[in-house]
Amino acid sequence: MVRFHLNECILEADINDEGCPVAWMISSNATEVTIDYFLAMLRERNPDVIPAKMMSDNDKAQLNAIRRRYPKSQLFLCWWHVLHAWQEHFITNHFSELWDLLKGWIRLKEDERWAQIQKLAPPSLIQYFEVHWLPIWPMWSARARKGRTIFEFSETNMLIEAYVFHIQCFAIKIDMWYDS
Amino acid sequence: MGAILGFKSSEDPVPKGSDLARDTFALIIQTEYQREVFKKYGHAFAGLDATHNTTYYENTSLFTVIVRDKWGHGKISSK
Repeated sequence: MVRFHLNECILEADINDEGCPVAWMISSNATEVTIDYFLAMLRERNPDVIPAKMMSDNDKAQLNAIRRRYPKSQLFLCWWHVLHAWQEHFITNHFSELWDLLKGWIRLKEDERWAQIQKLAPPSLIQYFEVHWLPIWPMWSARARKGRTIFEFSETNMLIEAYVFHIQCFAIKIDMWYDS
Repeated sequence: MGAILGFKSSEDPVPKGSDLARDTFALIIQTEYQREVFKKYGHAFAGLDATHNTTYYENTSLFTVIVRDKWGHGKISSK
């Protein structure tokens, strides 16, 4: 029954075009060592599979574990999570023009917007970007995402969130089936 | 080959070679089908994400590794 449920969950995600989950971990915490354990086991079971690109949230524990177990993979940050982090550092309604610039900046293949952003942004926000984001621009800017194959094309991790939603819906369907 | 890549209950000893906390619970799953798909598509791109409170048990996390196929979505199973 477990096998049946897992395969049905995978199929459910597939049919809805949200990517295919290839491994899961359920854990009591989300620390770096626990994620490292997950990726170590994944690497051990699949020694020949080294993703050229890997995407993660803006989460240090995940990023450090990926770097340790897949040091040759190029790391990208999920755009949704990057923009979410940015918008938490200023009131977007008060700086709507700036917010529009930032939303577009992430997608630009050439870097001609930072000067414009500096003119509109308060000093604290400029400093925030200079310290936290400019040094790691290859992880979030479209400038570093040129020339990818369609296999590598993904800008957010939201497909994972979407498929988890389907699994939850599917679990409810199974519960209803058992109850009927 | 089984689908369980790793398992530690909160009372099991810490597996050799890991630095897991003593009271950590972790269950890692990869079915044979998932292994095949990872082998076929995982060389290009893989996403890692955590979702919280997706199970009956409070404060548990579900981690998922996901891949995409040549159409930018999942491959239909041949099951």
